[in-house]
Amino acid sequence: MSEHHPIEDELTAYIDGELSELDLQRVKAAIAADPKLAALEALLRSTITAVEALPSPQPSQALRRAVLNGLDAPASFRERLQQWFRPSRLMPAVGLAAVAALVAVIAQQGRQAGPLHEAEEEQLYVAQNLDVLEDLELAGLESAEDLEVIAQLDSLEATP
Amino acid sequence: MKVLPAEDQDARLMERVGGGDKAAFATLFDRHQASVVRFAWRFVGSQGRAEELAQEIFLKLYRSAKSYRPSAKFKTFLFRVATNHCLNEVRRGDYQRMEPSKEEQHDTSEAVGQRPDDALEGKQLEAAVGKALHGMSERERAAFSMCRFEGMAYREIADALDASEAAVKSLIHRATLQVVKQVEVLRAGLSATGSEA
Repeated sequence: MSEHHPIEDELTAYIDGELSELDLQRVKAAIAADPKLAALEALLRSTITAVEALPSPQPSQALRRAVLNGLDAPASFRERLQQWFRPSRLMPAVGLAAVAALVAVIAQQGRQAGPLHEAEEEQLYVAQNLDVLEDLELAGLESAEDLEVIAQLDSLEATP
Repeated sequence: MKVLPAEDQDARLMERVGGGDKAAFATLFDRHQASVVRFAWRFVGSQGRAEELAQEIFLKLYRSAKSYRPSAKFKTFLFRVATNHCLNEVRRGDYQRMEPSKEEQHDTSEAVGQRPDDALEGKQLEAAVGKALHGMSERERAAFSMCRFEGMAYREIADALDASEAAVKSLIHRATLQVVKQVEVLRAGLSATGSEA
């Protein structure tokens, strides 16, 4: 079995142009010095080029109709349940308490350490903009309670 | 907090969708439906299922538009929604990635090359990629698809997957190696067939 060269793990990022200048030069030098590494780089590069040129399916007209016609349709039971368990509905009190606690902690630290550090200011900003939590919910990052409900959705849906 | 890039018109459209503007949603849909279907297709291996997932993703996007905050590039946001939806559906067991059936393997003869040999290679390459995708972890598959078929940068993929750039680099490298391995298996098979003939 051939020995694993530590630079091998950098080759795909090298081909994708995702390395820093320093790492780029390091990988280039390693490839120039090692024919096996150069062969692997060439193989990865040719495969990536071919894969990226593969054609993909075109969406059907039926999809457009289904989506645009579905805009006014009521959400499914599952979606309605998820809406109900949104953090903004379920935990307003928890949210307010968290803000109050955060402000208190930061104010206390401010008294002890003088001007707020940048990270703390950032935390305050987050506290003032708790509605971004809804983005997290939209992206599927639910609260612990939500996760439990979602885990039980199948059985809830099956219940008449 | 990130500032909305001036050129991200999609984010502005999404804000209009939040105000109930269906025409703005139709514009967003037309711009991104091909990407979402392509991503879902690579994820589940079937165009019919990919379109079902795409439909659910866009409807979810529409119904949640009021809570949208333009703190990230819209495409990254969209792919975060799409990735989570596909992952959740696959984990629920409703969708398992299928190897494409012969009927669903797309005719690549025009896109890949004009000579019969080139066309054959394109179809077989598609089959090799399908097998590799089938063997990948869900996160490898998502990262690989966003990188190779959507041209997204590692930073954007990291945002979409809620991962570090280092993790994305590793996911994409491992996934690419799996494709290389399948292509090598394909080539070895072709050589053996050729020498038998």
